[in-house]
Amino acid sequence: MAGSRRIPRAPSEEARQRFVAFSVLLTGYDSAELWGTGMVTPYLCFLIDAVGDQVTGALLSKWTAVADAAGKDPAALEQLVRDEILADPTLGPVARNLIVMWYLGEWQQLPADWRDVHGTHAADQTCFVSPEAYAQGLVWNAIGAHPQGAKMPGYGSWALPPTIPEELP
Amino acid sequence: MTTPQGSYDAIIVGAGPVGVNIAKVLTDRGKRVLLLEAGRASGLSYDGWLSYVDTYRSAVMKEPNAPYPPNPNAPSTYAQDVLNIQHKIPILSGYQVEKGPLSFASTYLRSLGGTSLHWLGTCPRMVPNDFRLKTVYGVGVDWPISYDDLQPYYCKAEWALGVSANKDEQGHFGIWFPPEYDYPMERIPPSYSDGVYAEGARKASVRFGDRDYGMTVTSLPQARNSIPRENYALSSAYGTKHVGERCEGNASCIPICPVQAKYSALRTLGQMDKNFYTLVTQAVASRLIINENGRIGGVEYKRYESEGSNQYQTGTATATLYIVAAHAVESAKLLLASGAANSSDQVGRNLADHPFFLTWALNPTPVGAFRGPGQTSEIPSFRDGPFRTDFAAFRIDLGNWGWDIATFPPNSNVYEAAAANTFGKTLRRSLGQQIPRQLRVGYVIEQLPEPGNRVTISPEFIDPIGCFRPVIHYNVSDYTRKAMIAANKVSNALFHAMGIPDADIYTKFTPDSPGYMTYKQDDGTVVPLSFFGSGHHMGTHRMGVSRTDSVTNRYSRSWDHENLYVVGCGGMPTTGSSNPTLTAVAMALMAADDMLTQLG
Repeated sequence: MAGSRRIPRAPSEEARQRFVAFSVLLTGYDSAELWGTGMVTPYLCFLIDAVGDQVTGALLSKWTAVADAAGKDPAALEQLVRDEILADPTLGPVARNLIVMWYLGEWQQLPADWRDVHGTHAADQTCFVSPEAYAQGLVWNAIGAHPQGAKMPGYGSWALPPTIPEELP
Repeated sequence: MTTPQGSYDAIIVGAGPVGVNIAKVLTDRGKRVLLLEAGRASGLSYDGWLSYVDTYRSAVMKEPNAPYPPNPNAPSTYAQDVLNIQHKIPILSGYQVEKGPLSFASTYLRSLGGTSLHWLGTCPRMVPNDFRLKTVYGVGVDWPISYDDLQPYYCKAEWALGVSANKDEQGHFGIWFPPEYDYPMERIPPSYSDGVYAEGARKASVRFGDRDYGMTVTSLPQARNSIPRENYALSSAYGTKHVGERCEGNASCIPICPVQAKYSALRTLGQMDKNFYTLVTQAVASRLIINENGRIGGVEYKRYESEGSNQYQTGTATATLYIVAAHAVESAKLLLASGAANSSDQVGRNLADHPFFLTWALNPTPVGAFRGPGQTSEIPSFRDGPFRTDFAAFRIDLGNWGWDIATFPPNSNVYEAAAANTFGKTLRRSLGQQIPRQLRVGYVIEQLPEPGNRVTISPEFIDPIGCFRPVIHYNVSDYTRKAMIAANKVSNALFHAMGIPDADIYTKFTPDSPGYMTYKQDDGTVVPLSFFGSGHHMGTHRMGVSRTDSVTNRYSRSWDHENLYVVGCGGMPTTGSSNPTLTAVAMALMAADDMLTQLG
């Protein structure tokens, strides 16, 4: 209906689990760390708003398919994600946006070429998902710091040697 | 709505750090003061402040004015308005109209508290030779006052602003302190990366003329709360208790300290006796009324009801003394609009910034970028020296926030990585290996007074409530450009002494950056340069010894109108390389003594 806002619908538990599993691969953080940000549901809802149910569904289905196909072989999984998702003209830009969203809390407007094909959703604007999303950006943890203007580490903490981000398995 | 009642001892135009500190002195002595503020009063509640913090967190461009919502009736320029002037002159996109030839890359904020809401809080004193540049080095002009004259007011200003430092580290180039004096709080702990710089600086040396210059790293005085010394009462955030009594390391001083551990003018406002002042916000002073006898007889202001409407009412307020403290650009604008104080033709002229020259590199090991206040230490070694006959002095700020405005990390790194399909643990690891090693050095460079660098007004450029927009004419002279060449030499010497190979020095000057320009060296080669704004607007109503070439006397009192004071960074005849707010407040406190004498 023109002029009315779509009624937000809580994504199903299954959708959220698939979203988290895909996000674990995209971010290099484990599922507990991602759930711990409190941003799983807000980000999935934002994604649905910004690209629509259909593209969201296609992305998560494709993820499930490549994850099943790769079995327990991480190298195969990574290659399949590159070939089947990141190289896909519809899913690639969305997946790259998810990387940025998780690391910065920011959604970037999709490329004009993408919008020519799939249309423009009102939520597809460059913006921070919320003030909290900014504070939960994963990049700050990755660089051994804290978000500027949030999670203040305390007086004099800056004088201590930096915490070297640990060697990841 | 608050309206001015009767006549006041003093009307102060502008409730920023300068105006409010004068108000504090006057009200402490029982004088009745009216404060006219063009912006709004949102900062006067802590939840209002926290809403600014949320605005900052949500802002796509986290630039200095980002937390503070636009106000069409008292507009400010936002950093994204400052485009590359080489592509299009004039720049009309922002509030300030830029006529070039270079863009004036700095912005300021019109809101209660002024630009002290988003300043960094760095508070070095100027060095004695900064006050006698003409006599010692044959360039610029001398001040009508010496360091010794201003010294007692520096002490008062440091206590008024709450500056943290240890005086035994601050005696650069003849700066002295009374034996019984110390800063109100202990120095802010230097960052870990300051220590990395210090190790390199000890080994670094650079030659200018026939002299070798070494480098030392020392702590910077900063107006942010640390451990108080005896007798100093810590202040917490306005409208709340026990918040912000220490710097908590939010690392967002510019544009906003969430806990207000960094000084803003709101703090002084909170310390004033409400019986003696009236604050009227959303009131833009539009004209000073000049009586036949040459005295100022009133200030006309436009009071708007809300930011959402351009409806306003014009009022006139009267007082014995009139004090214009509206910011270097706004004060000049008001004087020009009033035909006031300008028999010397110096109003609006000699506009200067400290062009901010940046170099950046990757350290061999992590320094812990993005932790702590924006800068905690400096290299003061080039704040004075014989080279000043040839090129400008500079202070060297050691940034704590990675490459910050040079390349906008960590966002730019994430965008690039995602665009290149870098993801997962590879992404996480590469960010962790690069960004914590980022070093960025900022050179805060002096500009000489130049009459062509100026603020003007024109009926062509008017804001929504009929006030003038500032029209800015700006250039950077060879004296300052040559200092950038010297700064780059210093930078290379420093980085090399830190064990950084040329391949890890990333400084670049691209023609599409807003401050891009070139310099023709003595051998004829043309080299590219680039600078950013420091936000240090200075020089537009300079003080002096003679009414023929200055706007005010040493007490910031107009030569033309004996009951008019024009105070703030605009009063500085030369700029040295010290961040100017501390000096402006010291000059204001000196002026306040003269006001008290006039008021009796």
